[in-house]
Amino acid sequence: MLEFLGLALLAAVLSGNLCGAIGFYVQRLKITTLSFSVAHAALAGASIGLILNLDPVYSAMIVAVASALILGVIFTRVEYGRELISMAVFSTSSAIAVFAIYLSNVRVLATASIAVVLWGSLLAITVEKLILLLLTLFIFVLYILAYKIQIDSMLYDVKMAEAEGINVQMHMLIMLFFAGLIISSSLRLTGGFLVFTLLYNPVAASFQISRRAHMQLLVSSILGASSASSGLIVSYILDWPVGATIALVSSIILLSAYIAKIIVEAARRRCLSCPMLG
Amino acid sequence: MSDEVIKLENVWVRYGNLTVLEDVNLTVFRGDFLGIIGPNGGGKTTLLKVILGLIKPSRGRVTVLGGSPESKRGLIGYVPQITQFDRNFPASVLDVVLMGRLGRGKLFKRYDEQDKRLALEMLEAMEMAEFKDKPIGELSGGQLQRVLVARALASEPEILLLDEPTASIDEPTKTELYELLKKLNEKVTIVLVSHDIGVISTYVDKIACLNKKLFYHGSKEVTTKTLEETYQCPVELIAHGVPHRVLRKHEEE
Repeated sequence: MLEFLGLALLAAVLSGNLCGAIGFYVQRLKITTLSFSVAHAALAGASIGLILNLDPVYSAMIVAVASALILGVIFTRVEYGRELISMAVFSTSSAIAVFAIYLSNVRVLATASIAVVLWGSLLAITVEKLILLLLTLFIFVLYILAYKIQIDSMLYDVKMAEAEGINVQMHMLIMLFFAGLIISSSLRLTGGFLVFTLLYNPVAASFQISRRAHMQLLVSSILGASSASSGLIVSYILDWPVGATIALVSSIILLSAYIAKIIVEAARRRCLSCPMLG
Repeated sequence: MSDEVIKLENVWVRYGNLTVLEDVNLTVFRGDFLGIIGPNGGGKTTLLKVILGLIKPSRGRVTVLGGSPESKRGLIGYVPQITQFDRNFPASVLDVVLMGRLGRGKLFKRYDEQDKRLALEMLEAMEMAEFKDKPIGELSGGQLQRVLVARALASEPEILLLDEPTASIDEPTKTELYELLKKLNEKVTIVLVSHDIGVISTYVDKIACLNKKLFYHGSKEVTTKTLEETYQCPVELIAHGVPHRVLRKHEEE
């Protein structure tokens, strides 16, 4: 029991960390709606895996990465209507996911196979999936370190970075590839419907906590890992669905960060108007 | 010719049925300080992006420093309109200027002492060194514009392209910025676009007028007729410099 929980906890830390980090980049590169579509494409892929009797993680990975790359190529060629394209992919993916679940042999929504795809499952974490997460983390970190300063420039202004000779199209595609990979790798833990909360909540919380870009990336990764691991423990103790609990914990962390920021700013304002200091 | 740094030959840019640039021919020589004026929506920003290779012409040929624009991007400094920037981006002034050093970056490159020294030199040239540690979002419009010029210069460009550098900054700051650009022009070829036909003519040595079509005679003499063709309306020049007015013909006339 402890071994399986330890495995799940490790997977939660890695998934949360990766989601928090990629969430920071997609938000800063203003491709959030695109990553939202990729998350739903992963859900469609996982659901297709149910029909084809494939491991949902791998079918999710294929569809998510393919849709990320296709969307990335379209985005580099289309100047207007990008949001609409993203939303079209999102709604189509959701429809495919529902149809695939309907057509699969698994008829009861509470079964383990469906749970993995939709809500996530503690039982779905295996050593193989953990290695996959570790490998993803290793390649992602290597990429970020190799192109750190080019990516930093893109985070500030994509058009300016491109004008200065940075291969923006290539980096956007790579970032989307990682988004697809990370989302599908994390799918087993959080489920397809909730995986994107780990992409957005930690980064939104990090913006409340820090004003420095590198610190925001670090905080977002830490909060992602904290949300996923503490959500997993709570779900184990209270016997709640793991994906929903992780999403809930990440939302509570975001709300706490927001309230903390308001309190700190109010205190700072009070200090500034304090006659002793004024 | 070796002195030609930018050459556009019969360049057309179309977005669907909309023609943005129509048969544009332009040659910029080394050391030029060219001002391109024209109304909003006249294709000025598009022209700069064509020179940078960010927009491919539908027809025509673009040569920059003897090669394709894409291959020479590292040699072009670009200062876009400051209105496009994320004011909340969490970086210091020095961080932003250092980004100008990335164009020729290699894998696992980090900023070295030379990068930092050059970035500081550029900040000093733009009289912004004292603000190096300040968050970029806390600068005024004029200060941000100087930082962006410093960033463009940090890449040690041969050509500097500026898109509406004086938009949203006050008159004294505009004059200071033009004075700095004039000084920079001793080393760098400058192409500047602006809808402001007033101050620009005092500092540039050549003026072109752009409103889909480009009117350019390789000098800074612009006739009222050329201005009227560019702005598609009668033009009344109140003064040489500031203030200026470009008046549209009244409907009832």
